[in-house]
Amino acid sequence: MAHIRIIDEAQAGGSVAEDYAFISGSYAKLLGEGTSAPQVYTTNSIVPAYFRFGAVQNRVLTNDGQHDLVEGPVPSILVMFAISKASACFY
Amino acid sequence: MLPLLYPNPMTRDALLEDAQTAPIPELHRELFRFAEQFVRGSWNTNRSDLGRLRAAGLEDRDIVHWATLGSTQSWFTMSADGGGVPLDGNAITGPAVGRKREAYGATPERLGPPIAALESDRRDDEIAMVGLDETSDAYHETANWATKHYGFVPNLLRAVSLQPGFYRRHRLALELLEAPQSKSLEPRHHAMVRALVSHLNRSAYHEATARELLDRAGAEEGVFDQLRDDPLGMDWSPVDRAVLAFATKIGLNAYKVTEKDASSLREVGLDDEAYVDILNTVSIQTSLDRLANTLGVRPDSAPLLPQS
Repeated sequence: MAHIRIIDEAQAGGSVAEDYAFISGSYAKLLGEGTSAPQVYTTNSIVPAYFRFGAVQNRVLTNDGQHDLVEGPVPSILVMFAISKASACFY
Repeated sequence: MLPLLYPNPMTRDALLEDAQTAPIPELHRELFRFAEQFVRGSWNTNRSDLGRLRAAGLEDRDIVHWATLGSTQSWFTMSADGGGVPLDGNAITGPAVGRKREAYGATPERLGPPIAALESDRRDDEIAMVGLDETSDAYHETANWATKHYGFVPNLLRAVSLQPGFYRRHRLALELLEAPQSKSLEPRHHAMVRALVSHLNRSAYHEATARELLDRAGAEEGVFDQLRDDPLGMDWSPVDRAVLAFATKIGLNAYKVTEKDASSLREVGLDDEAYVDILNTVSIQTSLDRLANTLGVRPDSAPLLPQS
């Protein structure tokens, strides 16, 4: 359970609904139809400006949801995993 | 994700135990070393650290890419742990890391003033310890925005010019740090959190900005130094202390945040919007501090705030 109140995709309105739609669509393209926005984004759903920041970060990491960016010498996902590991982040 | 990169389960176990002894490619080993320093001591990054990455085959474009991804992922890890997010079925990073959490001791809780190592390690004519490429359209668009917004182009934005695709992320991060994004967090508390976090990250780059923001927010004289010298002392009011204790916990070890931290804020009259505001102020500030520290970005000649 998140420690705080959240707004899920079904309840969202305004910019939060728009950003949910983008994030879910981006992950669905990567992981298959029906995939919803990962919960790491929802932490910020009660403050739309920060929810937008999560969406913008997904946009730059995925080329606006296309997932066609050219990788460097090491896959980006491994760089991010290494940061998570160093942070002892379970998520 | 890990099984795709390392099909052998013994390799995965060895990696989770200790990346430096695991049977993985040398470049991957360098990456895990880089990540440890990025997260746990970015202020110690010096020219020889970047030299080792270059010797391993990375170009400056790749180094800036790793630092930028690290900055971005820092926000995700702090948002997840600080928000108490449960493991997703479709989470694509971080599985199976938790078992070694306690091995990651806290960064020392009492820190001295920002370390000047970067200053002495960077040549006088350098913006940063990496190369620049200020020819892209995205750079020019960002430079124009920054000139209107700040009156100059911040060195941090120049230092990441080899990865222009991330400019919209960095710009938004800087804008979000200018003020609280909810009505629940007072500007003074927001400015105090920014200054505290830059102390924790020993960020020379953001010091002038933190001082100016405290001033604009009406904070008492001497607060900047008090945040450095005694951030958890008894001289603070109960609400100040609750805000600073929460911010410190996220900044040092976000994975230790629990439901009790949310209760502590509620007990002093702060709501969930304030919680999210503090969490994001810490995580965005940390993401930029680590980026500036790692690339050795020279501090700007003026605070990084909108022209007043």
